[in-house]
Amino acid sequence: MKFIIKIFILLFIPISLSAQESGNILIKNGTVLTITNGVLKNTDVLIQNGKIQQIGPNLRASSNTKTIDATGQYVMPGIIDAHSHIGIDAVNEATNPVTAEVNVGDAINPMAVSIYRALAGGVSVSHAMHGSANAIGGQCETIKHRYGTWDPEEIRMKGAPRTIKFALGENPMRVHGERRGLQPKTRMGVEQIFRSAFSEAKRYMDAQKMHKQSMGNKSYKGIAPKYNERLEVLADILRGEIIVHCHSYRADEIYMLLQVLEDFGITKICFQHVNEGFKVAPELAAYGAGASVFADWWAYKFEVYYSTAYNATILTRNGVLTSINSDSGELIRHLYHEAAKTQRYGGLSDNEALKLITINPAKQLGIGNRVGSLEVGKDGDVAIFSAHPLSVYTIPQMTIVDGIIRFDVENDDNDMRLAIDPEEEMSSFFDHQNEKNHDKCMEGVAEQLFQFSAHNH
Amino acid sequence: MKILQYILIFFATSPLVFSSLSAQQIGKNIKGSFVLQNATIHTVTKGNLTGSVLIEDGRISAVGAVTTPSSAHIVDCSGLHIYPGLIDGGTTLGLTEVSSVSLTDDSDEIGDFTPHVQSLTAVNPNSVAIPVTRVNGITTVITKPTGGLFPGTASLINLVGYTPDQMYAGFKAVMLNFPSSSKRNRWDRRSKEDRKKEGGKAVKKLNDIWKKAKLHADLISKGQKTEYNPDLDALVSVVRGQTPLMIEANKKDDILAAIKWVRKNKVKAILSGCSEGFRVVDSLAAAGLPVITGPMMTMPPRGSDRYDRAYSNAGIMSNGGVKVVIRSNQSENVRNLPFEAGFAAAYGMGKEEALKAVTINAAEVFGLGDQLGSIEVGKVANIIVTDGDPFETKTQVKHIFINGWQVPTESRHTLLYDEFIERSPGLDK
Amino acid sequence: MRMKVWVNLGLLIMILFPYSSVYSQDAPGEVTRTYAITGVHIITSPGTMIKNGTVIIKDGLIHNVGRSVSIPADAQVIKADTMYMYAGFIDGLSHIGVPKPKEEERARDKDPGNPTNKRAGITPEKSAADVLSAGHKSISEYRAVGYTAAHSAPYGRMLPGQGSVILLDGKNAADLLYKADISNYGQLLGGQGVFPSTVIAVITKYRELYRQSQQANTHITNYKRNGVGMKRPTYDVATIGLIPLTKKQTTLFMSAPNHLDIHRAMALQKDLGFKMALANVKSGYRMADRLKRSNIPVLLSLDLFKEEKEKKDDKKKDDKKKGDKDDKKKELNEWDKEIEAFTKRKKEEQNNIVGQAAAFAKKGVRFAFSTDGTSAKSILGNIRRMIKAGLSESDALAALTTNPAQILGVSQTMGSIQNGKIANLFISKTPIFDEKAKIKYVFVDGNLHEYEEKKKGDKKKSGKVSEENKAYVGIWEYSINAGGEILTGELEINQNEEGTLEGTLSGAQLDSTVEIDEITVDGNKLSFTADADGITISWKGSIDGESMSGEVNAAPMGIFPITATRTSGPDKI
Repeated sequence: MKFIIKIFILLFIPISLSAQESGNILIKNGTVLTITNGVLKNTDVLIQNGKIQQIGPNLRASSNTKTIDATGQYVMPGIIDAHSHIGIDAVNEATNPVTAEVNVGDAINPMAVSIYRALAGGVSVSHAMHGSANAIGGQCETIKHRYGTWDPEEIRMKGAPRTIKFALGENPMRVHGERRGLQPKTRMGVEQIFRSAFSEAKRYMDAQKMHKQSMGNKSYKGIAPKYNERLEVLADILRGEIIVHCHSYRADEIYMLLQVLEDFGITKICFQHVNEGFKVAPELAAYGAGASVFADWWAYKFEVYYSTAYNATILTRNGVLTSINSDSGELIRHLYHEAAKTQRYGGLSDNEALKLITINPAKQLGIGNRVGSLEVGKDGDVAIFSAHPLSVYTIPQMTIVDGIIRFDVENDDNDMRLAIDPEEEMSSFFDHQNEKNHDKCMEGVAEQLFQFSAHNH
Repeated sequence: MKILQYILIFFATSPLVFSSLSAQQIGKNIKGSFVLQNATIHTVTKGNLTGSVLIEDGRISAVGAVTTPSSAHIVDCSGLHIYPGLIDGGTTLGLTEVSSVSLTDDSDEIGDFTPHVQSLTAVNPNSVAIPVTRVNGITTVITKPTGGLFPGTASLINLVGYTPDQMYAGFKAVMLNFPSSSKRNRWDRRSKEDRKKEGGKAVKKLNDIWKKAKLHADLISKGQKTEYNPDLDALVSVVRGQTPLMIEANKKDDILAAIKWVRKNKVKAILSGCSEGFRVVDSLAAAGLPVITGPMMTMPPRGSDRYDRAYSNAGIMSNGGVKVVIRSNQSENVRNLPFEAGFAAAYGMGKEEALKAVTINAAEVFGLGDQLGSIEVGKVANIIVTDGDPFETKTQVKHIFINGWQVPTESRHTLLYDEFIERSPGLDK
Repeated sequence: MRMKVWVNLGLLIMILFPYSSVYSQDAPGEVTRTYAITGVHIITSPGTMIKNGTVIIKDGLIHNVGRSVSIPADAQVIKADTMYMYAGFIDGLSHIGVPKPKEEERARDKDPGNPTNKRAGITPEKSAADVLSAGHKSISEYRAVGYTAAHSAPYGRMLPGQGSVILLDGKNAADLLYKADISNYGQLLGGQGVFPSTVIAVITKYRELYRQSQQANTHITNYKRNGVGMKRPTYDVATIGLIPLTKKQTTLFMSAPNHLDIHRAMALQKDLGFKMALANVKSGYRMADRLKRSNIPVLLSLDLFKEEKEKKDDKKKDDKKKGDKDDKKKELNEWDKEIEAFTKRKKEEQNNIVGQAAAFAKKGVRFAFSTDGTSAKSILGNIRRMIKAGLSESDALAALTTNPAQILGVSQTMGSIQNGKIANLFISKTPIFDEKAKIKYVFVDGNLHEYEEKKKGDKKKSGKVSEENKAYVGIWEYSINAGGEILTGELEINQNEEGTLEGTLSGAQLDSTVEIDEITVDGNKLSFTADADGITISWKGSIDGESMSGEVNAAPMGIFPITATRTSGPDKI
C-alpha cells in the first residue's frame, strides 16, 4: 500500500492506476470466516485477478502471486458499510424537500483520508449516501475503497445498483418545516411529500408515454413533456430500478412509509438507522424490508430516546435482513466492534454478528452476489485480523480490495493523505475528544442554512 | 392446587417474571449483607484469587475465605468474575438527557467564568441513561460541566440513589478549559495568526482571573471582607490546594502551556483530554501530573496522523510513566467505557494497566485510593460480577453492587428487549 | 482647510505612484496616431525575434515590422534601443472591466427549493458586454503589466453569463468591446442557500437546463415551421440563452480549480456534448494525459499559492532547540521530524502546482493563462516561478499571447506582432521574464501608454492619517449577533498612500482575512462590503467615538446586529 502511494507521489505519475485494478494474492493458513460456509481452520484463500479462485488447505499459486502468512490470524470478507458519507464532496442539498435528481456520485472524492482510515478498520466497501435533510434526498454511490487513486471513477463500484436516500422524521421536519415554514413540519406532512412526488412522477411517465405513442401520427401537434431530472429519477424508482434507503427512527413513520411504498408498488427498501425498527419488526419482515442500524446510538435527539441497543438482535430474531452501519468517518473504523456489541446486547452468535457487517449489508446494497462472503468467484475483498474480529482486543492487520493490499498494519505510516494543501503550515489539529459524533446525515446542512452555526445533531 | 400456588409464588418472586410483569419499570435496589460466593476475584491491587467477597454495611468486609453471616443474601458466583466497579473519569451523565433538545441539556452554563456552578446539583438521578450505563459495569463517574474557560465544578457520583447526597462519591474538581489556539471544529476558519491572537488573549484572561482569585483567597485567609464574588469563592479551595483543577488541554502546545501554567501557579491539577499526549509524553511524565483521557474511539488529532493515534494515545502515555485514567467523555453512551479501555489495552496499554485506568488509578487520582477502585476489605462495595473479561464485548454483567446496594441489571434497553423480542400481538390484528 | 488637504493628497499621489500612466482624458489629445518604434528587439511571436528592428503603428494597426522599414513622415518616433517588444498579453478568462455587482439586499428566501433563475445564479443570457465599464481600475492595472486584451465574463455563480473579448483601453464600453458573446461562463458553484446549492445539484442542474434547451430549440423550430394547432413555446430566458451552446455555436468556459472539478466538468461535457474550455485551473497536473487526449483547451490560473520565507523559521527553530532541556529533546526531535516530513510533502505538492504549466507544455496540452483575480502586481512574478520550475520562456509567452488568441478565436488579429494585426503590444527595458523587467510602453489598439520609472529618492512615505479619516482608521473588534451565535473578529481600516480608506476583515467564521471593498463614509457612517467565502456581506455602521453599532447584511443568512469597539486608532498607529 505504502509502496504504491509512495511511488505514485515520488514520481508524480500523472496517470492513475488502471481502472478496476486487480491483483493476485494467496493468504495462507488462517482461520477463515467465510460467513456463508462456516469457519474453516488452517485454510488458504487464493485470489487471482481480483477474484477469489480457491478456498481450501495447502493451496499453491503461480510465482507472480503474493503470499501472505495468516497463521494464527482471522481472515474474513472485507467489511461493508451500508451507510456512510466518506469519499464525497457534497452530502446534503438541503434546499428542497425533494431532490431526487442530485447524485453524490457526481462529487466523489477518492482522496479523502477517511477512506484509508476505513480500510484500517477492515472496511472495503461503503455506501456513500446523500444526507437526510430532505424527505427524498439524492442518489447515493457504492464505493470500493481502492485508496491510492485520484480518479473518482476508480473507486466507483461499477455495476452496483442505483440507490437513493429518503428521510423521515425530525431532520426534514426541522430543515423545511421548523426553519423555513414549508412543508413538511410534521410526520403527516412527510407522508404527503412522498405521495405527491410519486403521483407527479406517474403523471410525467403517462405524459411521456402518450407523447411517444402519438409521435407517429402525422397530425399530432403535441410537444414532449418538459424534461425534468427530478421526475426522471422518481420514475426510475417507480420502475424498480433504484433501491430506496430510508433514514428513519420512529416505528410510526417506518410503518407509514411501508404503506406508501406498497401503494406505489415499490418493493426495494432498506430502512436506515431505524432505531425503533424493533417495534415493527414483524411488519418489516413481512414486507421484505431491510434494516441497517446503529449498534448502540441513542438519545442524541428526541426521536431516538426510546431506543434499545438490542435493536439488531430483535430485528434479526424476527427475520429482518439487518446490518450495522457507521454513518460516521470515525465509527466506520471499528464496525467489527460495533457488530460485536450485538453479542453483549442480545447474544447473537459469532456468525450472526459478522453477517451484520458483511453479507447482509451487501444484500441491502444489491451486491450480495459479488461481495460480503468468502466464496469462490466473488471479489477478492478480504480483511485479516490479529484475533477474532468480534474481540475487543483484535487489531486489523490487512485489508485487501480486489486482490490488492490497500492497508497493511506492518507498512502503515504517518501521513497517508493523498490530497495536500500547498499552503497549510502543518496538518491541523482538531479536538475530536470533545466533538459530538452523531448524525453525520445532517452534514452540510448547518453551513447551508446558516453559515456560521456550528455542528448540527 | 397447592402445587400451582407454589409455582405462582415461585414465578412471582423470580426476577425474570418480575420484570416482564412490570414492563418499562426497573426493579428496586436491595440493601443488606451479601456473600458473593466462589468467584475469581480480580482485586486489581492484590492480584487474582478464587473465593468469596462479603459485603456488609455498604463496604467490603471480607475477601477470599469468608464466614457467611446468617442474614446474608447468598449470590452464587461459580464460574463468574468479580471486579471493582468501573470508574469513568469524565462524562456529562445525568446532565444531558437528549443532547439536541437544549432544555434537557444542563451541561453548559452561559458565561466564560462560572466555576461555582455545580454539576452535582443538576444531575438527574432518574436519568434513563444511568441504568443504561451501570448495567455495563460502570458504577461511578465524574460528571462535569462543559463550555467556557471555567465551566464549573465537577463531581464524582455513584450510579445509585435518588438524591445528590446519596450519589455523591466524595470528590469534586473545578474545571478549566485551558485556552487553546487550535481550531474549534472543522468549520473554524480563523487563520493561524488569528487563533494565536485569540488564544493569547484567553491566556491573559486566565491569568487575570487567577490573580484576582489569589487576592480573594488571600484576603479571606486574613479574615478580611471581600466583595460578593461567588465565582471567586469557588476558587478559594483551589488556590489553597485543597480542590484540584481539572484542566482540559488537547493540542501539543496547549498541553505544554498548561503544564507550565500549573508549575508557575503551583496548583493541584489533573490534566484531561491530552489527545496529543503521545507527542509530549516526556514532559507529562516529568510534570508528574495525572491524565484523564478518552475516548479512544475517536479520530486521530491530525489528518496526517497514523490511523490508530487515538487508540494508542493512552498506552503511549501510560508506558511513558504517566498515570492515566480513561474516560468516555459521553453522556448517553458512558456504557462504552469498558470498550474504550479494551481498545486502549489492545493498542499498547495492556489489559492490566487498562483495568487500573478505569479503577484504582481513577480512585487514587481523585484522592479516594482507600475508598474505591479495588476489591479490598474496608472499601466501598462498588462491585461487578461478570461472566468474563469486563472489557470483552460479549461479556455479560451478571450482578452489580454500588455503595453496597444490589442494583438490578435492567435498563430501558433491556426492558424494551423483553417486550419486543416476541411482540404480542405480532402481525395479527 | 479641506481643500488644501485634497490638493496635498493629489501631489502625494503623483509623487508616490511610481508607474502611473501619463495617458489621461484630462491631458491634451494625441498629436498623431502614427508611431515608429526604432532600434527595438521585436519578439514577433514566441521564439521568433527581430533584433534592432522597427515597428510602424498606424491607425491602430501594426503597419510594418522589420529591420529596414521606412519611417512615415507623420510618425512620432520612439527610440527603444536595446528594449524588447512583445505582443500584448491576452487574458484567457477574467472579469477585467466588469464592476463587481453589489449584493442585493434580500429577505430570507421563502422557498429556497424553487428560486428564480436569477436568484439561483443561472443567467446565461446576461452579457459582459452590457456591463463593461471603461473607467474600471482593473483595466489600467492589468494593462500596466502588459495585458492588452482580455476575455471578460460577468460575475456570478453557476452560469453568470456570456464572455466577450475586450481591449484594455477605451473611453467607453463600446471602445473596449472587440468581440461580444463568444462564450458561456460556467462554474460548479451553487446558489448560496437556494437550489442548486451544492456541487451535486449544480451538476444535475446543468444536465436539466441543457436538455430543456435542446427541447426548447426543437419546439421553437417546429413552431416557426408551422405553429398552427401547436402549443406556443414559452420564452424562458435561461433556457433560450443556452441554445447557442447546445448548437455548438459557443463554448462553455468552465471554471475548474482542481482536478476533481476538471473531472466533473469533463464528465458533464462527455454526457451532454457541448464545446468546452476549462478555466481557472489551479491544480490540474494529474489530468495532463486526459486533457491531452480530449484536446480540451485549458486556462491555467495565474493565482499561485504564496511563496514562503524559509530562513526566518529555521533560525527560530534553532533558537528553540538550544533553549530546551535534555529530557524533552526526544519529543522535540520527533516533532521536528514530523514537521520535516510534512513540509517535504507540501513542497512536493507545491512543485507539482508551480510545475504544471511546464508539464502541460511538455505533454502538448493546449493551454493558456487566465488571471483568475490574481492581483496584477503578482502576475509576472508568478510566471517567473513557473519558468523557474521548467516552463520555457517561449511556452510562457505563447500561453499569454498566441494560445489565448487561438482559444478565443481571435488569432487572426491578435497575439503576435505582424503586419495588419491590431497594435496591441508592449515594450520592456529588459526581457519581460527577467527578474527586474520594467514595462515602459504599452500600446492598446494603437494608443500609447507610457510608464515612468520610479525615481530614486521617491521612497514611500507612510501617509499621515488625514483628519477626514481619523474617525474610521484603526482596529475595531467587532461582534456580530447572528441569531444567538456571537461571532467576533477584527475590522482593520487603514488609509493608503492615496489617502483613501482600505481595510480587512477577519474572524473565526471567515476562511482567512479578507479585504473589504466599496468603503464609503459619510459623517459618522461607515459602510463597506466584503467577500466572505463566496458570500458578499455588507456592513453598515454608525460610529460614536470609539464604538460602532449597526448591522451586517449577510444575505442569504439574514441581517444581524453588530457592535464594535476601536482598540487602536490613528493616534496609536
